[in-house]
Amino acid sequence: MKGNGLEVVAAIDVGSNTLRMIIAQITPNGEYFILEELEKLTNIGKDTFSTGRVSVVSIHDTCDILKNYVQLMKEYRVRTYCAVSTSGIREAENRDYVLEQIRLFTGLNVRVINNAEERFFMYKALQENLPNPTQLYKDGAVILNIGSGGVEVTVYNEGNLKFTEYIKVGSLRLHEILSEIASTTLDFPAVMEEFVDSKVDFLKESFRNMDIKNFVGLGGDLMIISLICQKEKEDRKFIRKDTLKKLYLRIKNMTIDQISKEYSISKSKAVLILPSLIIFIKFLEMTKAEGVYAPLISLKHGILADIIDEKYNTKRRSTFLNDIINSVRYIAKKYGLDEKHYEYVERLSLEIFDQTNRVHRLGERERLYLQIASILHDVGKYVNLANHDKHCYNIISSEDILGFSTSEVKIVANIARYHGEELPHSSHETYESLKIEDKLTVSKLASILKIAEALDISHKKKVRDINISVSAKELIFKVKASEGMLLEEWSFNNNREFFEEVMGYKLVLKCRE
Amino acid sequence: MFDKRMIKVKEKAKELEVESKFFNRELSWLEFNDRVLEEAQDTLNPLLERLKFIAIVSSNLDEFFMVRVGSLWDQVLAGFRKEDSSGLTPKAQLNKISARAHTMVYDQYNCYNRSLIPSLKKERIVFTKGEKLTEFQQRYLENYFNKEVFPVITPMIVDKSRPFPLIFNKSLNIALLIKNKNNSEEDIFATVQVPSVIQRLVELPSEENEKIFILLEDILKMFISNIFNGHEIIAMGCYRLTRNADLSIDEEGAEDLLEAIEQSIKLRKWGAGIRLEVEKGMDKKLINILKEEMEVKDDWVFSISGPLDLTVLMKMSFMKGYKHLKHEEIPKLTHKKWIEEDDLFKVIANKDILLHHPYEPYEPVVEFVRQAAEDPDVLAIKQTLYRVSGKSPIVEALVKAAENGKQVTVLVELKARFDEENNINWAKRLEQAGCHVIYGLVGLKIHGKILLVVRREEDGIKRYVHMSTGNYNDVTAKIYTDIGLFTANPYFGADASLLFNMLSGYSQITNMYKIDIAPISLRERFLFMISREKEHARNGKKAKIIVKVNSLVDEKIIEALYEASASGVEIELIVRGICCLKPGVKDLSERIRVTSIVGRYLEHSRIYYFYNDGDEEIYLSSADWMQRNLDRRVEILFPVEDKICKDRLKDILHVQIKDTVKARVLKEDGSYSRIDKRGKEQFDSQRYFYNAAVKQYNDKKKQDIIEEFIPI
Repeated sequence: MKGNGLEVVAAIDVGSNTLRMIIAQITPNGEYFILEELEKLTNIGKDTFSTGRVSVVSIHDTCDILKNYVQLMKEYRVRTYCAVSTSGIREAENRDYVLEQIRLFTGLNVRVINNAEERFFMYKALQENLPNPTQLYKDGAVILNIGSGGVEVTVYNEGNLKFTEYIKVGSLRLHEILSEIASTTLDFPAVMEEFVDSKVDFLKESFRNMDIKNFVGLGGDLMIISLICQKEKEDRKFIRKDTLKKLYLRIKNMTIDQISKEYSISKSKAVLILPSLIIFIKFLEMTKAEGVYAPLISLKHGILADIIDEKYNTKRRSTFLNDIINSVRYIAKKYGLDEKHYEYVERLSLEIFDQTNRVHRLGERERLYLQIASILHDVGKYVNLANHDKHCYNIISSEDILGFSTSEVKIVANIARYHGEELPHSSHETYESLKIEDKLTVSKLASILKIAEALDISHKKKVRDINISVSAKELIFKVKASEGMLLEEWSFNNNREFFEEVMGYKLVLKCRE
Repeated sequence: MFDKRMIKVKEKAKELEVESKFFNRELSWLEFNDRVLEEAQDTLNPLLERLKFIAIVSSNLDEFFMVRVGSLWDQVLAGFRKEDSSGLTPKAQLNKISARAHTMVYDQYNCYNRSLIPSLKKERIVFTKGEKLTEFQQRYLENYFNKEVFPVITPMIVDKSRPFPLIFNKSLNIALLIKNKNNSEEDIFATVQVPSVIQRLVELPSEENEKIFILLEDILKMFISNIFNGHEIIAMGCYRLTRNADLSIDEEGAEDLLEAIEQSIKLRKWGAGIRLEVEKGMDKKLINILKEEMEVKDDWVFSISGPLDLTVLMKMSFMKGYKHLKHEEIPKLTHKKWIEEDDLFKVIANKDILLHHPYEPYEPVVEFVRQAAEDPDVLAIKQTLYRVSGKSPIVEALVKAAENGKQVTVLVELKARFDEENNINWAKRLEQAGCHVIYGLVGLKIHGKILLVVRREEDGIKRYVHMSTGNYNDVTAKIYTDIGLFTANPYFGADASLLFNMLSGYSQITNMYKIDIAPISLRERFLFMISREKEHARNGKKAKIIVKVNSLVDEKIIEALYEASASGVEIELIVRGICCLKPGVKDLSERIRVTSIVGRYLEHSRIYYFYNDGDEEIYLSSADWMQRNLDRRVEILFPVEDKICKDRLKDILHVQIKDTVKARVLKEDGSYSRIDKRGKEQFDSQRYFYNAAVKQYNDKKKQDIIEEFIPI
C-alpha cells in the first residue's frame, strides 16, 4: 500500500449542540492536512440542560449522524480516532446508556471528558492557530470559550497561565434556563445581561488586578458571529469591540426568525447568537482589549492536535506540561499556600522520584501526578489544620486540572491526602474506590511525597543535595544539609516504614553538614 | 452624472411597465422553438438533419404543452389572475401561446409538405398512404396487418352502455364514425389506438436505391374495415391528445421519493386534456365528439395537414446509408491519442484539463471513472447523476468500483423530467452493487454535475475532481455542447468533499473555498459579480460581462444587468433558449446584446465571464439564469483558474460572438433576426469548432503514422 508513514486520523466531538468531525492526514513530522470537516446539529445539550437526560430521539439522531461519520472514516481507512463528548452527555443522568448505545450502533467508543480536559484540547488547538501566541500570553490574554453548557475563562499574564474558571453560563444553557421568563418580559436581553452579571461578578476583582490587552474568543457561536461581522467588511479573525456592540444593538430586538433569515443561519443557531454576544461583551468590558481574536477553531482541532502529540511526541507536548503546572500553581496561590515550602517539597519529591526510577518503575504521567500532589499537599490546611488530609482530598478533587480526566484528579487528590501521617487504608472510601493499579500508583507516589515532606518538616529547607544509591535491598539517601537535621531524621524514620512496605527496599538516611 | 442615468433608467422602467421590462418566458420559448424550426427549413442543412430538427420541434412542443401550458391551466383553474413580470395574466398568456403555436404548427407542416417531402422524393425516399402500390406491396401490407397489427389493436365502440375509453397522453388514435344499422339517425362512434408497441414507420419492400415508407396509422386505415366487418364506415381520422403532466409531487406526504415518482409516472397518463391534434379534413361530427369528450376548447384544437406527431421522423433521420444527407461525424479520438498518456491521474495531477464536448471526446470522462474503479489506490468515488444514457458506461464503471471494494456514493436525481423510469432502474442497480445511493433532496433537484475521486498516493491523500456544465451522459455528450474541467487542485478537492458531505446529509452547509452552490450562495455570487462590474464602470474603468447560458429568466439578475448596462458595462449575452431580458432598449439596456445560436449541436454550456478591471474571472456552471436553477436546484458554479484553460474559454466565447450563420440577434420586440452580415465574413461557430476538432484529429493521426503515406 502506498502512502508509507502517512496516517489518516479522525477527531470527533460529540458536543452538546453540534456533532463535529475532522479527518486529517498526518505526516511523520507531526504536521497535518485536513481532509474533511463535518458539522451537524444535535439536541443532546437541549435535552440534558432542560430535562437532565438525553431523549431517545436525540440518541437515535446522534447515532445516525455518527454512523455517517464512521462511513466516511471507512472511506479513508482511518484506524486511529478519538471521540469525546462534553457537558451535554457528561451531565446527562443516562450518560452510560447513551454511550453504550452509541458504541453498539456505530462501533465508536466515545470518551466523556471534563472541563479541564476540554480546555487542554482547546489550548493545543490554539497554539497553532493564534498569531504569535507567546507574545499574546506575555501581554496578558483572556481566552473565553463559550460552549453550549458553560463558559471557560482562562487568563494568561506575563507569559504564564494565571487561572482558569468554568462558569455555567453557556449560550444554550442560558437560553434554556431563562426561556421560561422570555415570554414574561419585553426586555429579555436585559434579563440575560443581569443573569450573566450575577455569574461572572466574582471574577471582576482578579481582572482588575491584571493588565489584559488581548482577548481570544472560542466556540461555535463565535464562528457565526465572525461570519456576520465579515459581511460588514471586518477581518474574520479579529472582531473589533464596537463591531460586536453594534451587532448586539442590532439583533437585540430581533426575533429568532428575523435573525435566522437576516443572516441565513438555522434557527437553532440563531437562538444562541444573542446570549453569546452578551457573554462576550460582558467579559470584553472587564479587559483592556480592543477586540476579539477569533481563531475559528473548535474542540475537534484540539482533539486532532492531541492525537498527533500522542503519536509523534511533539515539541508542543512539553509546552503544555508547563501550562499544566502553571495552572496548578494558580490553585496553590488561590489557597494561600506557603510557596517556598511547596516548591521545596516539589523539588525534593521529583529528585527522589527521578533517582528511584528503577525501584518504582513509574512513567512520565505519574511523575506529573507527584509534582502536582507535592504542590498542593498542604491545601487542606486552608479549611482546618485538624483533619487537613481529608480536606486536602476534597479540595483537590473538586478542582479542575488542565487536561486531567476526573479519575486522574482523584489519583492526585489521594496522593496529596497521604502526604502526612495518614496511611492508605481500606476504610478510606476515596482510596478504596480506585482501581487496583491506581491504588498502587497512589501508594508509591504518596510514599515518596511522605519522605520529601519529612525532609522539610521544619520548613527550613535544610537539604542542599540528595544522592540516592540503590543496592540490592537498600536505598541509601546521602543528604548534604545546611544545618542540623535532627527533626528531619526523626520524621524520616517515622515515614520510612510505609515506603519500605510499598517499594520493598530498606531506607537509610546519611546526613552530612 | 450616474445618478442622473439611474433616474433615467427608473423612468424608463416606469414607462415600460405598461408593456413591462421583461419578455414573457413562454412566448420567448416559442420563439426558440421557431429557431429550431428554421433549421428544419434551412436548405443548406443536410436533408436528414432537417428531418431531425422538425422532429425536435414536435417533441419540444409536446413537452411544452404538457408542462408549461399544463401549469398555466392549473393556474387558471385555481382562479389565479395575477400578471407575471411581462404583464400577462395566465389567461392572456394562454391566448397568446395558442395563437403563436398555431402559426408555428402551420409553418412546420408547410415546411414538411412543401420542402421536406419533395426533397425526399428527389432522393427516391417516398411516403405512401397506400396509393400506387404494387400487388406485392399490397399483399405484404395485408399480411403485415393481419400478423403484426391486428392482434394488438382494440377497437372501442362508444354507446350508452360503453363509456368513452381513456385516451393515453400523446397516444395516436383513429376515430371512426360507423353507420348504425338499427338507427339511421344516430351514427356509432368508435376509436382505436394506433398500437405503440409496433414501429410506427414501416418500410415497404421496394426496388434498390428507393425507399418507400408507410405510417402505421395509414396501414390501419387501409384495413380497418376488416375489423368492422359488415359495418359502413362513414368517416375516420387520426387524433392525438396531449395531457397536463405538470409533475408536482407532494413531497411532504411522500416518505419514499422512489415510490412517489413511480406513482406519478402512472398519474401522468391521466392529466386533463390540453391540446387536441386532429387530421386535417376530419369529419366535423367526429371533431365535435372528440372536443366534447376531451373537454378541449377550439383554441386548443390543432388541425394538422400531415402526419400527426412528427417525432416519427427522428427514426428516419438515423436511416442506414445516405451519408450525403447527414452531417459528418466528428472523428473519434481515443483518450490515449488525445491525451497521449495512459494514466489519467498523472495527467490531471500535472495540470487542469478542459474538455469542450462534443468537439473533444467524452471518452476521457468515462475512462476516468473506469480507471478509478480499477485503480487499487482509489479509496472512494462520489458522483452526482442526473440524466444518464440507457446503457451508461459510467454506471457500469461505478458498479464495478463498488464490486472492487471502493466506497461509491452516488447522488441520483430521480426527478429529471420524463426520465424517471430510466433513472429508477439504474439507481436500483447501483444500490444492489453496494453503492451508497442517495435519492435527491426534498424540495431540491440535484442538477450540479460533479465527480470526486479520492486516491491514496505516495505523498498522501489526493483528490481528483471533474465538474461540468453537462450531465454524465455519453450519448447526449455527442449532441450537446458542454464543457468539463478535470482538476487536482486541493481546494476544489476539499470543496467537492464538503459538497458531497452536505448533499448526503453528513454535514450542514458551510462555506467553500472555490465553489458556489445554489440555492445557498449562487444568486448572491452572480449579483455580486455583476455589481462589481457596475462599480468599475461607474469609476470610469472598462467593464465587460460575457455570459453564455441556455435561458435567462431570473428577474433579479435581469434587473442587475439593466443597472450594469445603464452604468456603462458592456454586456454580451449568448442565450440559446428563453430570454426574458429586453435588449437594446434606450436608457435601460442599450449596452446589452443578446444572440442565440441554434445549430447542429444543442448549445448547452454555461460560461460566465467578468472583466473585473483586468483581473478577468471565468466561471462554468450547471445553472442557467433562471429562478428554478438559483432557488430550487442544487447547482454548482466554479471558477476556471488555469491560464491555458481560461484562455481557451475566452476563445470559445469570442468564437461564438463572431457567429454570423447560426446566430440570431434578439430585437427589442422579442423577435429574432439574422445577423446583419454587411462587412462581415460568413462565420459558423459550430462549424469552426468542428473543423478545429477534425484538424486536431488529423494532426494526431499524422504523428501516429510515420511510415505510411495516406493520401488525404
